[in-house]
Amino acid sequence: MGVTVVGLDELIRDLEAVPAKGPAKFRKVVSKGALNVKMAWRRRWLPEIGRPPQNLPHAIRGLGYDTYERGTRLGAHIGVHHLNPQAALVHFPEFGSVNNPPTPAGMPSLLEEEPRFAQAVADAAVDLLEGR
Amino acid sequence: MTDSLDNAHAQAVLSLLQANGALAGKVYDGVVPAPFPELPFVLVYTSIEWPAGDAGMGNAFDHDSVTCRATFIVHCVAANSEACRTVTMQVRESLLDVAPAVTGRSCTRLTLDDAQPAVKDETTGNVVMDAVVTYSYASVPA
Repeated sequence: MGVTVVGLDELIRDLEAVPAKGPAKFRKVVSKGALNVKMAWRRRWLPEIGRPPQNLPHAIRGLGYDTYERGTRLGAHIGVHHLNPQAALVHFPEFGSVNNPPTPAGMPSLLEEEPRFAQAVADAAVDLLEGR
Repeated sequence: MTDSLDNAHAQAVLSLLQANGALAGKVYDGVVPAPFPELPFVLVYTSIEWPAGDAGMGNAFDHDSVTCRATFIVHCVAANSEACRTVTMQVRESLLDVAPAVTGRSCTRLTLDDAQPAVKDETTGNVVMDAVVTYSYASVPA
């Protein structure tokens, strides 16, 4: 009695390639996701705070993202850099104040991107496992 | 649409806050009344969305927007940081992990999406500390 399994060599080869090809592929997915959030954030803020009376052009121009890598964990910080000249003011449009209602843009943009991002991660994982 | 669902989603959470003995009569919906009220108090900015596409996960096959997402930006306003934390704690006690009741809808539990540190706000004429917490939940037809 015996069992013959065919095709395992290919699977092993593909799995062995994951550590080599994985980081670059997922890094791209995280960057693209962060870029999409940033652009959506800017799109939401531009008509709200891009002109007087609540004029924060530096904050809008300063929207950006930084990607980071800690071990197997990839991520991105998206928002206005703390050195931006209007950084200290951006919580007003995002969260409002006692006097002014908010025009939230960060969280809605993140939620909008979430399903697309999850799909892109899944697609990248399938590509890797299939050796693409 | 002539239903009152948007308001029902907002009121479901506002009434949860009002039901908390420590916050009763101190919850304001979108605007602080004049004259400036006694501290502490809670100011709630509500946004109700009916997201399209994949963002509305429960949306029907016929592309009708049936998923509702309610977001509450809650300003906890008090005289100092410690009092702010006491208010944010009362808000957490009232909202976190609670499923609001909206007639005809199945609601997810409320999640804390974001918490900002208390900051000084002098724009009111009184120096107050303001800590912002953001809660949200979603609902689909029951």
